[in-house]
Amino acid sequence: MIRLIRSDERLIHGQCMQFIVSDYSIRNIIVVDDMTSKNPLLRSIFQNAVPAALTADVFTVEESVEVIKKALTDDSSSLLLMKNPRTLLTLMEKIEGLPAELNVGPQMARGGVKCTDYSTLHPQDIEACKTLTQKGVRVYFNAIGATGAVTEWSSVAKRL
Amino acid sequence: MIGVIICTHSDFAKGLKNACEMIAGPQEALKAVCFMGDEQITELGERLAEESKEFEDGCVFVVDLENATPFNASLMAIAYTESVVLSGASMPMLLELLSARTGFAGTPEELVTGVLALQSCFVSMKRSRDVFTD
Repeated sequence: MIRLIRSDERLIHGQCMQFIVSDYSIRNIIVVDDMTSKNPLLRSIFQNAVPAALTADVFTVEESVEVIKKALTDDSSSLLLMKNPRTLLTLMEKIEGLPAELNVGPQMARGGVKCTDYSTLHPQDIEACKTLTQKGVRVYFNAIGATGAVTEWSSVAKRL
Repeated sequence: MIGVIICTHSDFAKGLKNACEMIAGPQEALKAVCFMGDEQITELGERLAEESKEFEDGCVFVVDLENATPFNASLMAIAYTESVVLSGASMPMLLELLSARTGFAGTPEELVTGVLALQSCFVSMKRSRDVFTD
């Protein structure tokens, strides 16, 4: 099953990932990002940036569809990780039955809209969050795992 | 001389460089690169590669945390070079590294291997109580 869907511009990184992996009992990480997937060097860095007990791989949106469908029903305990909320919207058009929650972590769009201290969203991602919410997805900001502070999208949306 | 580039989250790198130079004096081929959270990993990787270009004998990238963004970006910067990444940046480790590279004729890999062998000397986490009862 997929335990958590998260958008984090830095994808897999350090302590942050350690908290998430332990808070959500993650054993497998599915990264969906076209640019990273097509760059062999970056791809191998992210495949190796996880503790030995975990598996991680990077896919293009197209490649990820079957992988995610399988992860939805197997006993994999997966984290679905992408750079920005737009990607989840694209995935929802292709895959049914995804968990209806999105954790937005660090985002650093230049000239974007600052939503929390760690999250500045590209205008297209603001739109994506609105659409996701309309589709019944709970969008919330959380930087470092289940024990960290949570900011709901609804409270951010009020001041946009 | 083998170059050293300290790369960390926020301005810790700059502070470490200043603190090391306070103790060991001004250093050649020592740079600090601060990751302030507002750039992509690929941009940081390119910046690190660019900063290390002038070090003809290779470079050691000293980073704060294993597998974090400064570490991952440094891995990008060392690809296809003989440079190395060393995580766990601290004063004792840097002072050891800076003194070991003076007059050192080997590769960055050999330099770091030598410094790692001295780990017991520079992992110095101690309670005051233990200092006095040793």
